[in-house]
Amino acid sequence: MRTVRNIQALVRRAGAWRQSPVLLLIAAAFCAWIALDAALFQLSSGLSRPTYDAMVRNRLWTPAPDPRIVLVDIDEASLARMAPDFGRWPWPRDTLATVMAHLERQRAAAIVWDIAFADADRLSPGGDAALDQAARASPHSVHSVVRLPRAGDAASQLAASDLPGLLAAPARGDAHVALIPPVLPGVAAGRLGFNNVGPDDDGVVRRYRFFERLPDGTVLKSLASAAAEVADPAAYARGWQRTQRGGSEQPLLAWPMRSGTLPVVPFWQVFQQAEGNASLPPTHFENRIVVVGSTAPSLHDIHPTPLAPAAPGLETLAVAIDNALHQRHLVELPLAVQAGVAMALCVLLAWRAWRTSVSELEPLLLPLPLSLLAVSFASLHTDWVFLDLQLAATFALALLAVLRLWNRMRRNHWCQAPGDYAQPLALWACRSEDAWQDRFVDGLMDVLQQHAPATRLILPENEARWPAQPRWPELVACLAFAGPPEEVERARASLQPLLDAAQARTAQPVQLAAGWNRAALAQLCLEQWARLGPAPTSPQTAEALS
Amino acid sequence: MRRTIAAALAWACCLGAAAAEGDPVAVLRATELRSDKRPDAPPLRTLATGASVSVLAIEGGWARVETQGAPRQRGWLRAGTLNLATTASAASRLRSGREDSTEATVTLGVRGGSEPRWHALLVLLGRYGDPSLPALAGSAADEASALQIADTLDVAPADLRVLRNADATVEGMTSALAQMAAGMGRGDGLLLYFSGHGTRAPHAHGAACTEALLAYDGRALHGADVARMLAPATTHRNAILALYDASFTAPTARSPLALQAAGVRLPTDEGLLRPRFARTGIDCASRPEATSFLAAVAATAGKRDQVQVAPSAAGVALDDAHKGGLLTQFFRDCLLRDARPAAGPVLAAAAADCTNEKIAARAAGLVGNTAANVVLAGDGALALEKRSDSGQLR
Repeated sequence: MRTVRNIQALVRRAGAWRQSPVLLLIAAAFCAWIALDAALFQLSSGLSRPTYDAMVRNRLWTPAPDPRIVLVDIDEASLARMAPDFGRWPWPRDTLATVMAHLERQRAAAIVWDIAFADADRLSPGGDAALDQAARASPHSVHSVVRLPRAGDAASQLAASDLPGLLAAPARGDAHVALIPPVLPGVAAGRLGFNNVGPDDDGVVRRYRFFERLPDGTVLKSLASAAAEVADPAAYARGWQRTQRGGSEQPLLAWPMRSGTLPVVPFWQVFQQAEGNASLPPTHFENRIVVVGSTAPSLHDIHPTPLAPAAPGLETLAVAIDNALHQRHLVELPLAVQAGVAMALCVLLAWRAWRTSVSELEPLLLPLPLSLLAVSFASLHTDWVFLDLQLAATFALALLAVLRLWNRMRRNHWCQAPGDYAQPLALWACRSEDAWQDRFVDGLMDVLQQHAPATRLILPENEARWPAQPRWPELVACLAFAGPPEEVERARASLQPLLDAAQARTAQPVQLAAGWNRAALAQLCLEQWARLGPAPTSPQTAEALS
Repeated sequence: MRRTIAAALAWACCLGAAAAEGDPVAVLRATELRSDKRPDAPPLRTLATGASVSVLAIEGGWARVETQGAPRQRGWLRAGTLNLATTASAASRLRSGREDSTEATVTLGVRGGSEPRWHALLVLLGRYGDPSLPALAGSAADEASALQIADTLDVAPADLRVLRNADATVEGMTSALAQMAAGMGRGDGLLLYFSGHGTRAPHAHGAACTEALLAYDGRALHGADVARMLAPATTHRNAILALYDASFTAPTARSPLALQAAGVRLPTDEGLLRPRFARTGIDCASRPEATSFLAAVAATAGKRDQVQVAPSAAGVALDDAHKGGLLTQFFRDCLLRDARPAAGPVLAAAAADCTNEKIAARAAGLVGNTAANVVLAGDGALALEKRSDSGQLR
């Protein structure tokens, strides 16, 4: 209880502190907070990621996905239809060999296998032999390997050069790499790419690593990059050059407008067509980039993305391929730059408050952060950069809220009634043409703090900003100074320029004898204001009066 | 050096793939031989499981084959029904960091391949190379029981290997286990079943006698030998269920003479009982006993999910001429029915306890019968079910 009282007393006293050091302290504290957050804690990212996801979902337009991409989906319907002949997944691999040969015959531009052939199928070894043979005869097939965490590289005997199809550039050294390679020699000798994604700390997949550079300078291809290389070598070359110029290692994916926009053909349908079933409508795959994978919930290739809390991994891979073909992935502002922008904004706001008044900044409380978010949102409509100003928006909002709070404390201090009833009191009333604007009040408080620290402002009605309306419009233009007579007299010269700027009329100071009370003071104020003339007539005040 | 090995493996892989074509291969599942590579093409004939065909070509998922034996016939069948060997890629034969990987990583895509499963090696000795060693009439019944146990574990025909009599030498068993281990993936299980005589023999010249299994060639397989043979099958966190239906103890002098010689028929018996113990001609009475068979196996191979079940040192494993070894038939009954809980799989310890009770009841009154005829070494919590299901349990 005592602690609470101490805090309350401190808050009351804080209102009397001089404005300049307080603003300096607030700006410095915010800069330190931003620096610590960016370097160590990253607490603000917990707010920014859901905001980013919401922005992605609500974009106004996006480029259309590459029309060549088509998904061949091992969906639940395919699992159900294939089960009578081939049992549960994984099916014998001759089924996949059948489809691979069929797509190759159809002259697909690329056949991307979102399926890892990591282990031999001992139950159907002939299926492995068939797939191995089909892979050797399929120059357009691209297969996946699973990249294991780098911590395992030291224990691996596998050099990148052991899988030449995985290299974006010739191996430069003998760095070892931990990964799960294909077990079938025909697949291992083909085009390969690692099929990993790096979700953010909240588990949501937002980024994709198109290339990975090993310590010896060797560069590995992702499955999406390998697919682009097969389907469109020129586009792949552009992406590779961009990476060599020092592009982001894991850029943000440029997502389509919504999940489920890519064309999909069920696997069972393609399989039956491959097996000569003429009753099905033909599907043409010539020059298409065919991505074979699964969206079946029971096969668990489901990840949260900004578009959906449970998006098929197959679709994410297709988006990555689309990005690789068109270099659509988004470059982000480095965290240091984001922190720098946020710090600069905080310093700028504090400086502005010092130069004008804290009240001057109050109208910015929501518009400024919203404007910054709007810039971020607008940048998402490009397909090359995301100007992430969420950190700046968050801290600008926090800073403005703190300034507003401190200004309230300050006003509580300077606008309370003077408390020493044993001393005589001078009252100097004035009346403006319209409501007293907050910035004038801030200026008057500054003068009192400097020249008349025992004098207080009597301000019966604050400036009302839309949509609020003055509670007592008759009193919005009224203001008075009450304090020790000699102090009020001394401050008049400093206050007069401000009152003139506000076009205020002033009365002669009057005195209350020692032993005065609040009721007498209030009555005297009303009398003085009444003598100063009629009620103001600004449109807002007039509306409130009517 | 590693490059040389990798190149050699790559060469071997190409050779293996090339050698597959034209060589006779077995049909793994009964299937239709069709006139064209379409499922609706007219069937030419039905090929039974095990039928031999020559592969002429592979196109997509279909193989063009020629049947062996008269009349020779050419046609198409799904490649997945053939036991066609494909050598693993050179890269997949290297240590790739996968073996020790414990950190999680997030990937797209699904995995196309086999799920964890059981493999089985059944060693059945009904007779020995040395005619002086007594034959075991229950061996045929043991094979049927062991196949039922394998079937309960969902062992596929391609993952089952049976070594009978002359094939069950020390070299034969070692080679078969090595081959099976090479075909086992991460999380697979191995059922090793031995039906034959046990013995006691010194591990080395002048060493103490220890419990051992007796191979067809009369050589003793000690616990440490079996542990070494099993080692390759345990490198990928594999499960092991080893059942040894052989006695390490001779009938005592107080046992009925008939038990020691021609067999004994108890009042509760259906068949004639004989001990599954044979002497190797070495007098072990004067030599001190060393570590037991199971202790020696478990000391080197006993890890999580690895279980060894054998008769105890004090118990006598008996062979029922009609129904096979008591341990085998009762373990089968317990696994299939008597130890099965209302929900969930049978655990190895429960199956062993149940087997113990059944043997005790059956051999009641027989001199030498003990309360603990069967002992279990290792992880009694091993779930005796399909390997693909066991991940949910532990």
